[in-house]
Amino acid sequence: MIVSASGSCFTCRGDAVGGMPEAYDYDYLIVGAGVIGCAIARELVRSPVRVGVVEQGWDVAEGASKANSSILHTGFDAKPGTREARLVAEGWWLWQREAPQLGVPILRTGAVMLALDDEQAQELERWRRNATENGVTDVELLTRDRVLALAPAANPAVVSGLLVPRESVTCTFTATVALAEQAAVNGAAFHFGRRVTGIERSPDGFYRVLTDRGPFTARWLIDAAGLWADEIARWAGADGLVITPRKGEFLVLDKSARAKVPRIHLPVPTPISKGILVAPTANGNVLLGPTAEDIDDKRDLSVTASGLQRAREGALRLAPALADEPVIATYAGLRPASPVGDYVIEIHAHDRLVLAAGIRSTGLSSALAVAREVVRGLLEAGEPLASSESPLRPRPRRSWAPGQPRPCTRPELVAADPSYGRVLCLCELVSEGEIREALRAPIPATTLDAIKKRTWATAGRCQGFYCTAAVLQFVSRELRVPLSGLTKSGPGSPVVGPPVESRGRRSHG
Amino acid sequence: MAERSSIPERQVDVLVVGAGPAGLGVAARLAKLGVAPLVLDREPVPGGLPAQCEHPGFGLWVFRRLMPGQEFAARLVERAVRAGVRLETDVTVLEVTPDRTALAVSPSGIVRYRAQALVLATGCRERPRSTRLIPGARPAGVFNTGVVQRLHTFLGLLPGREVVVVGSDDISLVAARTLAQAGCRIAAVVEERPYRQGYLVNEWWSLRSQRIPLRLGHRVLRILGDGRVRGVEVALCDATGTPVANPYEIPCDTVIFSGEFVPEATLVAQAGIPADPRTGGGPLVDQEFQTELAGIFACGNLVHAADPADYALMDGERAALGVWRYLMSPPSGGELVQPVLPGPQVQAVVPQRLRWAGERLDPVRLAVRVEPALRAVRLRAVVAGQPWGWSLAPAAKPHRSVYLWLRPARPRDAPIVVEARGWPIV
Ligand SMILES: Cc1cc2nc3c(=O)[nH]c(=O)nc-3n(C[C@H](O)[C@H](O)[C@H](O)COP(=O)(O)OP(=O)(O)OC[C@H]3O[C@@H](n4cnc5c(N)ncnc54)[C@H](O)[C@@H]3O)c2cc1C
Ligand SMILES: Cc1cc2nc3c(=O)[nH]c(=O)nc-3n(C[C@H](O)[C@H](O)[C@H](O)COP(=O)(O)OP(=O)(O)OC[C@H]3O[C@@H](n4cnc5c(N)ncnc54)[C@H](O)[C@@H]3O)c2cc1C
Repeated sequence: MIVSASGSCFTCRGDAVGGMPEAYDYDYLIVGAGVIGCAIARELVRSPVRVGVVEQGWDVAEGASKANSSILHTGFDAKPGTREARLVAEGWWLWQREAPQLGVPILRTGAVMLALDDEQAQELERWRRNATENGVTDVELLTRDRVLALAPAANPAVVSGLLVPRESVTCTFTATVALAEQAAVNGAAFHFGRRVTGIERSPDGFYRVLTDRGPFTARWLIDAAGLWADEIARWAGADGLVITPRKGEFLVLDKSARAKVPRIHLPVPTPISKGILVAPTANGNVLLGPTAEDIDDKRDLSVTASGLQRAREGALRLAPALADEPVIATYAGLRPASPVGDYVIEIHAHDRLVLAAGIRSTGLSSALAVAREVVRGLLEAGEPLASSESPLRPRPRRSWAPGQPRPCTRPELVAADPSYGRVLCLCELVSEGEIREALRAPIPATTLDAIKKRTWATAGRCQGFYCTAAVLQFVSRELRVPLSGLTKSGPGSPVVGPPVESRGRRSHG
Repeated sequence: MAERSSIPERQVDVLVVGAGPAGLGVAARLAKLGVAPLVLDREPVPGGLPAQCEHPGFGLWVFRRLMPGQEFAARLVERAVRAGVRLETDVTVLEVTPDRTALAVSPSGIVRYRAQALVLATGCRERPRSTRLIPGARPAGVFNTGVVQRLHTFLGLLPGREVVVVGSDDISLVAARTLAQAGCRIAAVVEERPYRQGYLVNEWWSLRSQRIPLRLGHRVLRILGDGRVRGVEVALCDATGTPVANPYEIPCDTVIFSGEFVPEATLVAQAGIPADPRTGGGPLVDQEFQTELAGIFACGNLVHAADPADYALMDGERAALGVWRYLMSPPSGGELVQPVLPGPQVQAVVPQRLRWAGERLDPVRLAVRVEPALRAVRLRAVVAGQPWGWSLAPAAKPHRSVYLWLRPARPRDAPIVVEARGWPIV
């Protein structure tokens, strides 16, 4: 549950229960701490079972769950009859119920699909029917005037539109961290920085999951490995799963743009992608993107000149009024796409293997429903699990979540704890207090990226110009680790170099 | 922002946000005029950017000798405090309002200040890698010069071992030198434009003395690396940014994006103070650094990023006179406002307007940014087709102001247009 700097887990459950030595570490070992793996872990710990999560990154949300559009989809545009359509719809409602206690922001902004010519306008009626078929019955066709009233920055060339009132904005970092933390406080053990390198079966059917730093044994294996789910499945003996990366590049606009974008702006989708959109973020910025490009390399998270240009042009076609808004960040994410064209959720009861894979472009929205679907399958397979309504211990409260007032603006908090009055990150107004909370949370932040995901420190318009040094110094002091031991995203990503040579320090000037 | 009711309020005559050279300049001069201002700064150490610099590049105009930034900053702080300025550090101003209040937070609580006059001197910052849309991986080891200076001066750390500096203005050149002397290997200084932006003497002093190669006309096409930077791919490019030679890789573990300063105008934008997109969002000011909102002043790098610290200080002193005049006799309205507009080959001019209270104007210094870079430059200010001032400079480059004085004159009801002539530097 708590991961030390070296990555070893020193408070795992499952060493011994009731004084009897156990033959295996976990009842359920989940590979992958993305939003799907974390949601499944949280659903499983409703029962008195031992749940482990093994993740190659040094934090949760290091795969697709780190770099997406953070939209909580209703599923209006999903292909009717698919598992995806069903689970996205169910997931939307589950998030409405669970988000408040999890501390996950949801902005019910609604989305407007913009038809920019007559051909696209004709498509809208098809999408309206599609939505109705998926149970999203509150969509509404809009005249040009209504589009412009609801989306004032929309391209004046717009012909008509479709309003999807329940499409919402959430935050993928907060969502994944919250699910993981609630899983952790209810007993799930997270093992970060351990890459699964092979899988063996013992004669009695238990899994021996090899990692680059020692094996785990488990009764069930749950494959939620995102892009690498095919490799894990193959090692576990299930052939046939193919996952390919589809890259999406984004630009983030400064907060000045937010007032112009009260709602999500969607293009009329094409067969390969939902298309490039313009969306507010829970933290008050505006997102342009993503592109959709099939690539070969599952590690290629680079942004490209052409990709950024396409993302920008696509977005500006929807909302040309954003042309002069400053860009503060860029990023790329990889969708774990499968040729099946639907989620691959399979329970192999005989092999005690679960696949939760190919969750390409809607997994944040559907995560809670996917987790329930997995538990339903396990119940059918005869596993004695508790009902999905059994209560969970709450995740510890944070003083801040995206979209809420910062602690440094709340007199009572600053009075109670002066560290909320020491602002380190000027652009996002992050104080020492929030960073300390992130360092001491149930899933403690151990890297700068992890701190950024939880607090937004260094993620504002100056991208760390003012605060990088101060944040490093504070974290080093709090964790009592030398500055040279701090990393961006785990070993191999040191943030700073060696100390200044004293010879050099004296001689210059 | 925070609820007003539960927050204590304090009245002050003059509140200055930012204790850099500009803010300290305003405050010290006002104190000498008999007004005791309060200066707030969010850093634990006052002095602004110079307080983070160890290199001896400061003070030539004001103290008549070059000294390290830290010494320069310490002297300004001492001067201000001796003059009677109250200085509070570790205080972050969260918000200012058009009616001259400022909400500030520090470990001892949240306070709303009500000021007769408010001065913003929040300085500037460099554009980060992401804003420049540099493609490639996003590993650790990508910095701005300002961050590297802080790591070096405050924490005694180098950013890495093998460094590529992107940008060739004087600040970039000095940073390369400082790091080379502190133990880094500077693989190259890469400059997108076909010419060096900083001074030739600086190239000799900073680069040649350290045998650091300067690659002009080169763009960074891609950053490479997984956990940490492994190298940058660069290529010689033409004016449109298209490679004209084969790209090649420079191995390094650190890339520093240097220069390209923009005003730290967060408070300005939030308060709705009219700003000038030509300066990157600094507020529009008159010759005494008053913004369009009466009683709110702005000076230093916030209005023209980033000119030398001495100029920020001199701005501040000039602004102090404006503040003092404002406090003595708030504007009655009805005065003549004369816009100052950029003409041919001029990107921006500060101040953006002249405000005539009476019949006469004290001499005014205009800070002018040219575009493109010019050699043998002649600047002219013209009103209704008639010249009103001129100056000559051997060269002018877009990132650094060149100056032009307007002599005292009678007001005229027409805009002033500033134009630059010269030979483009290619
Ligand atoms: C550009 C883009 C935009 C999107 N927009 C949205 C949106 O707006 N709304 C929405 O609902 N969804 C969206 N999605 C989809 C959503 O991001 C994904 O469906 C979801 O994140 C998938 O979660 P996951 O847990 O399956 O995968 P991941 O988050 O990729 O998690 C898999 C984890 O497994 C780990 N792992 C893999 N192999 C191993 C191994 N061998 N050993 C140990 N660990 C391993 C990885 O490190 C990773 O952390 C978008 C996706 C992209 C890329
Ligand atoms: C790396 C580097 C090297 C340089 N080298 C030289 C040189 O050799 N010679 C030279 O003449 N010039 C040099 N300069 C330029 C010089 O530093 C600036 O011209 C000068 O600092 C400008 O002064 P200023 O007061 O306008 O802004 P700053 O010095 O930037 O001061 C602004 C102050 O405002 C504070 N502030 C900002 N926002 C808030 C807020 N919301 N609340 C409270 N406080 C706030 C900041 O903490 C800061 O202290 C260099 C700059 C850099 C970055």
